[in-house]
Amino acid sequence: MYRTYHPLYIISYIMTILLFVLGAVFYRQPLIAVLLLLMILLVPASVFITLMCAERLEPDALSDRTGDVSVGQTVNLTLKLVNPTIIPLLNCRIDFSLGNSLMGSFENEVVMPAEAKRTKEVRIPVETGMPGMVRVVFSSLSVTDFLHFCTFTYPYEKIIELPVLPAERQLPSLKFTKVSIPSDEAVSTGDGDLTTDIKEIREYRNGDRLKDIHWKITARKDEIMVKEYDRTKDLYYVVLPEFEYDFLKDDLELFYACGKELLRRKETFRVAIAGDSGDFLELFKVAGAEELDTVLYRIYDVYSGLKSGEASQIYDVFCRQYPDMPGVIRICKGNIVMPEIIEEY
Amino acid sequence: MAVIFSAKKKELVHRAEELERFGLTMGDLSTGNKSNRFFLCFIRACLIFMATYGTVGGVVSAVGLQYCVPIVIAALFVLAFFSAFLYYNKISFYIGYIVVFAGFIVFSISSYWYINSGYQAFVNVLYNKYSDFFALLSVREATEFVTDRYVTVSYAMIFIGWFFSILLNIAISGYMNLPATFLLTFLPLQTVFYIDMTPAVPYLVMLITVYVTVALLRRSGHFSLPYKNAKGEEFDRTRKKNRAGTEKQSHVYLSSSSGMLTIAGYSLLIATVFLLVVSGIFSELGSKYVSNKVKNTTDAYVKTAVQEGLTSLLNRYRATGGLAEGRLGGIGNVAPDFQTDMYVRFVPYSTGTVYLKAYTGVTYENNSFKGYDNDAALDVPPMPDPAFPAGGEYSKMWIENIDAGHDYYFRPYDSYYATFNKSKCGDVIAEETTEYARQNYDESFGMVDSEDEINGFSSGAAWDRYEVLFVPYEMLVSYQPNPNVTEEYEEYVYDTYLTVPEEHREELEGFLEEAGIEYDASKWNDVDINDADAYRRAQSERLDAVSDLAVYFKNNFDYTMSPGVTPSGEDVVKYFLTEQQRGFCAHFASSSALLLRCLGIPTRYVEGYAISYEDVMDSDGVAGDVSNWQISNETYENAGIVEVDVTDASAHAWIEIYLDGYGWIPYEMTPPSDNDELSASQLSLYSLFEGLLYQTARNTVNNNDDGDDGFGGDIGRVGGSFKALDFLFRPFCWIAGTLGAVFIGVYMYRYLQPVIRSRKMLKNGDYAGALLERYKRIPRTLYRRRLLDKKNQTLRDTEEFVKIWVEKGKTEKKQAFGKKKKKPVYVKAPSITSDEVSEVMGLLRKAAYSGETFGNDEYLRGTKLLRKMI
Repeated sequence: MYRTYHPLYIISYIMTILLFVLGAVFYRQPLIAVLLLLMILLVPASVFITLMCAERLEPDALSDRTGDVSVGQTVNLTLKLVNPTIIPLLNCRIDFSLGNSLMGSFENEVVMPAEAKRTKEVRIPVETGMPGMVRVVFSSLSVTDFLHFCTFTYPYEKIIELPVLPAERQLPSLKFTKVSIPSDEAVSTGDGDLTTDIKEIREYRNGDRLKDIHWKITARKDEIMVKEYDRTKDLYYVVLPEFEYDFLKDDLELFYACGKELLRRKETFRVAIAGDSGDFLELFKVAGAEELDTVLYRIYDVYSGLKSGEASQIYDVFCRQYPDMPGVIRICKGNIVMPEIIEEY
Repeated sequence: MAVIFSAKKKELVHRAEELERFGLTMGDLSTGNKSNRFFLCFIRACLIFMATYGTVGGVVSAVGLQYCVPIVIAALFVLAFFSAFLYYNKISFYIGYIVVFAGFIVFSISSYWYINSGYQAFVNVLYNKYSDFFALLSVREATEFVTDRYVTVSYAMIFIGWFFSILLNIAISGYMNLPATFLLTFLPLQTVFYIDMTPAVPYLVMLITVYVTVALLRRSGHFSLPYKNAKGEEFDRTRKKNRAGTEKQSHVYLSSSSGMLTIAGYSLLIATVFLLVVSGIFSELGSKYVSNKVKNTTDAYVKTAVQEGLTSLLNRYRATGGLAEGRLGGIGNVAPDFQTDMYVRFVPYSTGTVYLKAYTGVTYENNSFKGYDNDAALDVPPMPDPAFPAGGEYSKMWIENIDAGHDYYFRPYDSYYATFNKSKCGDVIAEETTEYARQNYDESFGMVDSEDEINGFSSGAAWDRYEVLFVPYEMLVSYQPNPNVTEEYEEYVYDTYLTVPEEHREELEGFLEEAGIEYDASKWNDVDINDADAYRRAQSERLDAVSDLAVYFKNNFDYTMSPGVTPSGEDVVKYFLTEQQRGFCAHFASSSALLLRCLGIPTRYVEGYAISYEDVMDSDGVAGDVSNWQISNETYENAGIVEVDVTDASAHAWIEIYLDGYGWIPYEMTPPSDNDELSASQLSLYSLFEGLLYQTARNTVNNNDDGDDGFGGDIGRVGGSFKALDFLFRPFCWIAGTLGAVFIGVYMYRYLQPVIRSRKMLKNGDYAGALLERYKRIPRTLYRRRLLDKKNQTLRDTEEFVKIWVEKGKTEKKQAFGKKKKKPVYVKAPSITSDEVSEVMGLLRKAAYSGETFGNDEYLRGTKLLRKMI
């Protein structure tokens, strides 16, 4: 706890007391003297009582949502201030910052009374307009005495994080390209070096080559079936989110839509995200919705430092780390950028 | 409405911008229970009622007037209620005020005679209380058209209360403004407080409750209705940017009915208890009649205002001191500007007052003592050797007239010769000059109406600087006849200076008779001056009569610089002697002149400047040889030349009485000022403060009854210290002592509480509980010493911390919250071992959670180890 004194209030009060002293000396009458005494005694009473009661205040904050929130939805935060004492503390202030991890935050203070023997609740509706991590960081509870002489500030550290998911977006029918990743260290582009051994015959998926269609079985089954060959290297979809502050919303929506689409196709894919230091990339495997969300939160965190006019520059890092990999699915400037696919018909 | 829409639109724009900038925005904050308007208005109505009734009822009850209590209370509460509900919403605000004012006007007109009569009844009673308090002669009996005071006073109270409730509603409901509330309620109470009348305790309780409530609520906010906020929110939102450019939003909760009610309740409790306790202490102070200079000054104004009305305080002509040239009665309040009127250099020769005469008032008519006119001057008989023959001792006075009126020149008594336009001063007085002065009395100007002098003045001659030779003696009456006085001049004196306006002669003689002042003019005005004994007796009789009058004035009249102007049509002397009975020098001098003339003593009214010994002491010394300023056979030790800065505050009026065969001598008729008043121009912060600390006894009738001499016994500066506050010391000590005792008691209780509890438990055989009670202070102490983060730690956390502390031998103190990081501070581990920590924690766990029997031995072991822990 620390104290902050308010000199202006103190000086003005002292001046008032001096005026009353003059008045008391002039009149020498009980009422003025009583008022003077009262004024003098109110000071220690106000400060002492506030100090005694303030440390017993119990602030709390919670959200009405625990999971994800969609863009445009309103989240209700509830700020509680429990005062177990019989003294109402009318000058309580809770400081917190509110913001979206990708966009920045602004400071807030809520000045509210802690009524005696009551729990005061304040509902704070937060309207979301951007995907990102909505973060409410509470820092302190300050209580000022009745006469505004002194403010006692206590730490109140609590963080509420609410992920806001991008809006659903319909993607056009896209043929995603894959990236061959021989090992963790190297990635080569293209469809991989194939063997002649057929691994399985499976249904056609968007992006399969025409030459791999097993025409006989297709004719028999009345459904396009494709030959899947064993490969010398694994093929993955790798999504590279190259976000730029000014296209952030579109980029996030596209990334999210892209991920959803791949999951809908039951594809496992990787997402390349800048590491902590920013000069290398980490590949996150996404095989389900939960993992997609986790990656999204990671993105919220990693791209939190972007400012207007800035781009993430992740593509350069990717090229350095994985040279010669045109198959990567890039998401930048509100578009999905893929290398031109050379189909082998 | 436009304001609301505009504010709402602005707010929406802000929110849209926030969505753009931050990706989120905050909607309207709410507590979910904002429908408490009625309750909020009701609490404020109660405050307004207490303030209104406390004021109006307090004033009326203090003067002892009866009124219909239930009706007045009900009416004032309804009015307060209605006023407070004007703030319920916008519609009630705008329409309600029209209704209030219309109702006020209708009530005023329909009940005019009742209200007027009630008001007159109150003012009559109050006026007469003031009259009694200040021992004034006047009584007010204004007509009360309706004579039933019980009814009329109630009407008047409702009328005034209505007016006050409207004003107080703005101060309380609108702004919760303490200064405004205080002034609105406290100023009316001054009408009774000023004359030491105190309202009954319940009224004071109500007022103090309102003051405390308003003070506490004002600082906290939480008193406004939500609609006061233009955006219509429950919280008031403001946006600002700090220096770093970060945006900050402030959301202030506007109203808390529960908080208001609790604060009002506590305020009522505080006011009641405090007033009852403290008023008991104050009641024995007996400081009622102790006063000070400032209060004496205001007393003078109040007396004047009570007796002659407020307009009497306004002067009819310039009243910044200086010569009034015989004009009387037009100055209600002397307000000297303290600017220099003249510089006077001389060698001080007396501890008495040095009079510099300028104006001589000869005939009295139309409230004015007129001087000589040119025609009359020609009739003044010549008197070549006017003053008492000069001795061998002279002194010189150098006068520079700055702003003392250039139609006059000012001279000390017994002055003989002047040299004009002497810009330099301090030259040796040439012996030949002295000789010339001795031999050429024609050019001298003693106590005589010299033709030359008069002609000189009438020609408007102005002398800025001049030197005067005078005899440096205090004015002593010599019983030796003055050979220079001629019979012709004496005849002229008796013809001229015994005239009084015939229309006032009766009153003047009546006054003298009532005052018991006698002088047998026929006997003592016609004494042979050659008969030494008879001559001495005649002079003594004459001086005794004058002295009797001066003493009478001193004992029965007050000196004041604010006597009020004489009402139009009244004669100033007659009004002063019969009604006013207080005034300043001009009043005393003019009245004395006429009264003494009535007795048959030739007297004239004189104006000029009086240099007091205090003025001399406050003046600057001037370098120079004293011998150049004095011709004397005597040697003056420690003598020096002084330059006195004579301001208009030294302007004065006195009289001169004529002693047969001797000449004119000055006589001071103004009672000595006890210097208890401050003029308006003196009210600088310093002099105000000094005046407040300068204790005096209040000049009231009660005081006189207590055996005071009637001059407001001067108690004095009390060592120039703050002893004027002595009446506050005792209650302060009482209250400070009580508070200190409470404070110590609380801390002792908090310290001893666990010990007492554990002892109780031990008595009951609850050893486990007793050990746990002893343990409670361990984590708290560690928290207080900033070794633990939380005040309430689990046993395991405490154990873990203490063990690590013990193993490492020291631990780092946590950084204080909100303070700059400092160098780490380490705290040495206690002497307890790690095993002992485990042991005591085991005992505590057993005491807390296990159902097993916990014995005394375990308790003793546990407490021993706990003591080792801290």
